[in-house]
Amino acid sequence: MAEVEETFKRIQAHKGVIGVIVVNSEGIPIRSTLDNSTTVQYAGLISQLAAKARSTVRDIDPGNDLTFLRIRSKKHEIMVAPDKEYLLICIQSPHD
Amino acid sequence: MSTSKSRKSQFLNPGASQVTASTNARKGNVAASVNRSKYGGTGTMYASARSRSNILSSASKRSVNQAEKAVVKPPVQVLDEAGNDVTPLPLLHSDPSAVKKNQSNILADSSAGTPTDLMSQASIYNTGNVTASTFGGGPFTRSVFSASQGTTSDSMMGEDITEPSQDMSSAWAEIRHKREEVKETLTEDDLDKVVNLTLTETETIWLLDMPGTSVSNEAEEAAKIKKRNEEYQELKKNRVGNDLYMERGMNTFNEPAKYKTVQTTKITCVDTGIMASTWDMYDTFEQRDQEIRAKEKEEEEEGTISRPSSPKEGEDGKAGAKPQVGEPSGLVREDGAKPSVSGQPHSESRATMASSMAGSESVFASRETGVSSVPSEMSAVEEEKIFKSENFQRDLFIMERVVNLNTYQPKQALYRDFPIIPDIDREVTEMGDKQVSMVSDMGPNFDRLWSYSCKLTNGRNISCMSWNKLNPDLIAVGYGEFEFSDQKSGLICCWCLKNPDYPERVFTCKEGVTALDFSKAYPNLLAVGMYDGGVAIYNVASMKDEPIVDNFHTPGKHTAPVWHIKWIEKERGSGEETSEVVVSISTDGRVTQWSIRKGFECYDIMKLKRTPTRMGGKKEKKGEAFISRHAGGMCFDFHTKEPNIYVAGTEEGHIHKCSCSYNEQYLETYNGHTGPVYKIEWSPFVSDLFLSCSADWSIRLWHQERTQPVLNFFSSTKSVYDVVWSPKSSTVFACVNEGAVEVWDLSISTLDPIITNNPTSGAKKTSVSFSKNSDCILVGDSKGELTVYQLRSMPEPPQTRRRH
Repeated sequence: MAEVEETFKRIQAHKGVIGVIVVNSEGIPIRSTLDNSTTVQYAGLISQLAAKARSTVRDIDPGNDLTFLRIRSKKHEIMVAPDKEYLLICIQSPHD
Repeated sequence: MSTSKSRKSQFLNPGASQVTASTNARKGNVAASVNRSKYGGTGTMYASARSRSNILSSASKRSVNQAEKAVVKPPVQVLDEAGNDVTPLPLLHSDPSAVKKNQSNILADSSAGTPTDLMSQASIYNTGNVTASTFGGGPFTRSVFSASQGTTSDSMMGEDITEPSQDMSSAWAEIRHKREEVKETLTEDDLDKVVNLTLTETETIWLLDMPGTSVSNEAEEAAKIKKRNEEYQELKKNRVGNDLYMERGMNTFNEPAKYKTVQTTKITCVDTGIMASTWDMYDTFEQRDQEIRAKEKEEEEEGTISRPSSPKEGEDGKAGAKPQVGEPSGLVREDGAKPSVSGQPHSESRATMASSMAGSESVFASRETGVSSVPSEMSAVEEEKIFKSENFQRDLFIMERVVNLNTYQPKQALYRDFPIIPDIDREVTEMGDKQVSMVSDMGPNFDRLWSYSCKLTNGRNISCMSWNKLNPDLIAVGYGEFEFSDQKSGLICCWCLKNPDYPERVFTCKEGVTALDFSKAYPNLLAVGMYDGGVAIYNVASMKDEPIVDNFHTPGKHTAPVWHIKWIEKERGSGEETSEVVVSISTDGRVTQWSIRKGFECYDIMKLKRTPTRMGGKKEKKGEAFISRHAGGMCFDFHTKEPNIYVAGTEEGHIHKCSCSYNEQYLETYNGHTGPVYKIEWSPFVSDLFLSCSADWSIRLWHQERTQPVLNFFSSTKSVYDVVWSPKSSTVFACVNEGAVEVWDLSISTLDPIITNNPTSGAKKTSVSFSKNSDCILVGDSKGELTVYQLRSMPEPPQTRRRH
């Protein structure tokens, strides 16, 4: 448990990382380093996108599954680690 | 009276497209509605045209003209006991264009007025005959219905209605008008008029077609059929007058209808919908298969109490329905009912995810309001559960690496010699190009990529490094002080290329770590030598902070710091398979072999004895009083080809070549160094050469046959802590002295290093190592920083030398 906390802190403290959010299976954010409204927004939108991506991958081959999702935009990169029980979201601004 | 004929023709040819006096048609339609009312009603007869017009106007619901609605009241009314008007409404709201067809029917009926008349009319209809009966009959006798038609239609004869598209209401109005006119114009004279009736044959209407079948005389059934035919003939003959066949009419009771009502509880209907995607179905079947397999396994092991499915359920913490094999697990009610199989939360979440956008949006909308109001206990418990789960930890781990990758991607790409993908979103400055060109002209040089350091390692001296034999991205670094005065607890960190910010594994030791080596046979075992002479073996695959074996309490423990430790493959006894043993050397003069077979056994391969120094020409000093008879060993290296031969460097500066078979005598002694030999290494390419470095500011190259060094390298006035051959080129080696990192290439110069790097960080450089899978060099310093430099523009390795 402590290791998890430490790793969490390290990711947060890493260069360029804007925020880290952990969302449960229902879409409720359970841990976040951003303010509430942003968190909720990200949680909702990203959950939907991850579900869609997962559905796509599995439709093509049901034996396959989504393991990681990265969305790179002009300003940041959103990295999503989806799972059945939760969703781990990290927003990083890769270049300064 | 042409109208009559037109009417008749229409009557005759319902299908024929003879369009004649359309007024007739219209009239007929009106009459039809009249009839209808009569059907349901009592079938009263109406004898006057007047009344007919009444009927017509009243009965036609559709086109009732308001003005003429004065006589709207239907003449036929059916009233039930309660006095309600239950007059049956006409079933057919006649379509004006279809009026024509219906007319003939209606007209006939109106004249007839009784149900029986209807039937007769029908029969007339069927036979297709028109009785062009006398014109003289009254308008209401059946036989002269045509006549009546004629009379009524007389008035309309003038009209030619070929276009069915005329406005119906006006037509109705016309009809009514004409109806009234009819009243006036009917006279006796008209009866004598000659009416022309046209007979045409309708097309044949097949009502029943039973074509006969012929069977060949020679067919099998021919006899049977013939017999049957004969029987039939007989039957026909006998039919007439036969008692068996009689026509008799019967009258049945008209039972009164009885109505019965039953009341039930409301049958609730539930609408369920699900979108079954491909993977949903796949999952369902997978789960079912798994359960079947689990059950089979269960049956095999009869004695087991635990059921494979229940722990799964217990985990979920739901009192969900026991998995039922027959039911598809993917079916989830949208009204939120529990999933039918195994009650796992994931299927529910999948339902929320799989449902339409609208559905999920509504879910999340509720979440928005619900975020603050979620009971804290539930979220805390959930949070813990999630955090403890392995998946989460793994995902966090991957996320950390990914985040790092984003930051370090260009550098790591350089490490691996990948072309760097320029970040398209980053603003590019003009300066970049110029710098690049400059750099490439400089000749061989370093490029600092990154450095491994973190809070834990700050301030610690890096004493040793070892690459993992299986995973060339993993390096173990030992932190321990060299000086006696600075001793602190030791640390071992395993760093990985993919995460320069934090080590993958951290092991703490009581004493400073002075030597490290990864095993080849068991790539997860790491042998550690410590400042107090302890030797421990760690398993890096586990996260535990303890060694799996150590020698802290064995009597064979070294009594002085272990400066070098290595895993050696030894042939055991008579040609058995090689196993690996740990060999360590320490200042107490012993070269000890440790094996893990039973406990941690040690065996001294050699005790280094002091040899009196022989400086060429000088007289021997007599009778030096030795503090100890042993020479402190600082380093050793086993021969690449002959596993029994090794060279060991001592604190005095001598290098001894020894063999494992003799533990008393040296095979050879090499004299040259005047200070402790810190590192010794056989060349990976040329098996007879070895390098040594020492505190006497020099590096010497030896050939095993010659006791004098082949080459000496003096490049600085600092003691050289580490020297290492390049794995790629046989003439390149690197060394670190206190202030600088130097890379030498013997094919270019034996006097100067080709690269000298003097970083100004102030820390002493203590160890160096080449990277196996890249052109990089790793340098550790006394501040705990392990820096990765990339070698660029290195000269080509000589082609004739191949790695042995």
